[in-house]
Amino acid sequence: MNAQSARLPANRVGLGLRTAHIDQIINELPDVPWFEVLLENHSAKGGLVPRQLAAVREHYPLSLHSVGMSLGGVEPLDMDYLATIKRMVKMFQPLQISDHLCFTHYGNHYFNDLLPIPFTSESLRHVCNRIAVVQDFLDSRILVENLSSYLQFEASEMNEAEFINELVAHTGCGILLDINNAYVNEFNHGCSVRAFIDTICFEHVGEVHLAGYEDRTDFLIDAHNNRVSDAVWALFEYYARQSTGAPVLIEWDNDIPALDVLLSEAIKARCVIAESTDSEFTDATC
Amino acid sequence: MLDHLQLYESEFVAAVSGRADEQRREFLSKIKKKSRISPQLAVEIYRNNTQGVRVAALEQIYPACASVVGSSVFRAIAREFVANDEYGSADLNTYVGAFHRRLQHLLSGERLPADLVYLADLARLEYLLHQAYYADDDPLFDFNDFEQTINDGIDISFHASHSLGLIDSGYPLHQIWMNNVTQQCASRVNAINATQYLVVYRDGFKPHIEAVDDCTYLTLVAITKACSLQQLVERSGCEITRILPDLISRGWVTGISKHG
Repeated sequence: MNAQSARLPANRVGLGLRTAHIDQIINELPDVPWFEVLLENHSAKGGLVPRQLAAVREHYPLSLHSVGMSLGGVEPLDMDYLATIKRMVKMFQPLQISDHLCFTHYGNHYFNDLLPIPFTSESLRHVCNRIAVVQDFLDSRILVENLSSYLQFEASEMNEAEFINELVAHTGCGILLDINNAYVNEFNHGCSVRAFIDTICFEHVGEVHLAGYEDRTDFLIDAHNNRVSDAVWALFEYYARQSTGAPVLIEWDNDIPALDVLLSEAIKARCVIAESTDSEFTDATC
Repeated sequence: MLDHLQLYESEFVAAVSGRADEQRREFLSKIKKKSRISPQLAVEIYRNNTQGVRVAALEQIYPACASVVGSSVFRAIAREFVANDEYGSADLNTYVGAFHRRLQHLLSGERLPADLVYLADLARLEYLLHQAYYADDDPLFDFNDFEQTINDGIDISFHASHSLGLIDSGYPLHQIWMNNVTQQCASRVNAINATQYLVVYRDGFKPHIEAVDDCTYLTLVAITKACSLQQLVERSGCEITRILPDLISRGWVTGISKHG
């Protein structure tokens, strides 16, 4: 397998690339070490979209994030979708490719949401097979992201962190650790984030996501429409004190603010890393 | 064999789409109860998330329609459209293209005021603009190939630009669209005396709308239906030799194929 030889910069904090910011990014070239591209927003073959992305790629490393692989789905893998990913990889040479541990499609129903699966040995075999096919097709390792969920299944035989570790062991995939997702699950279901972090194989974490949730008082929605919460910053610090230096991403998908707001969140993440790790990674800003 | 996982996903989807009570009950019984979120609420959250994404896509693609009816009415129409849809496409761009049919259905059932009779046409226009923005790039017209093929006496058909959209209407759609995307109030609109023929296309990176004469429009329609040059000359009743160079220079016609 042709795992990408270059890597995203360790411990450096990137941003999710959003259409609202692209012109500013191309014109001002802000000090951001890398950007993550959401496939669904940037896969057009013609017009302005691919040209803008090429202009960003000229100056920044990219990672490619998708929401439609449906790694947990029982329907056949969508080879057209994977071909789109492959085309994007060829054009923009992202240093990482990632998707979620979920399903998004069943029968004639396509959901623009990430639906959880039970963590059973049957699911494990199935998801392992699909990850293997995807990695073969893309000729690249992928990262699998832990999910925020609003339900858990009685039938699960293991927890999500154990399930993901098994995926890694069987397929060689990496882990995209979303700390906000884990926190949303802790709040909603009472499953400990620290236990989740302690269980995850750190050496296989290829990327960390930080985002803001929406507080509905009784429960949390993983809306990516806010600053990272204090609770999630504390958990990130807990992770960063033990981590092996995976690149970190600030995600913001709804009610998108000015780029400066995202940059300020990135600086905050840099500071947490600087305070939690050796001086090798200390950022001058902090 | 994926008996259990398949069953979970089948019941999950049935529960979220809210159409199969038996499967929904079965699914709810499989969800852990020890959570701040009840099984019923969990299903409701997934339904709202899914529908919310689709409603947001409709709002983004149909701003003029939303301006005409007002945002709360538009959102109600959009929610109804989403709730009645089979979620039959992963691609939101494809999914939302059927929205004009929903508007036509509401107009036919007199659930929208009669003076908004142009609304379904306006939705079609907005969808064409959306498609034009994301359309594939076109090749440059190869005049040498064109000349050579004609000189060889071979009948040809033409390729229309990927971004080309055609719409005819008995209402001044271009003006209505302009009024509403620039946030001016929509004045009362009456049918115009003659049909308005509009071409939607992308010039550079930006979609444009242009009103054209009937001959230009009908020629473009014929081209999109793969009519041959000979058929265009013989049947259209229009001066193809006058129209064609303009269509090519505008980038609306982008190439040729041997016909048949």
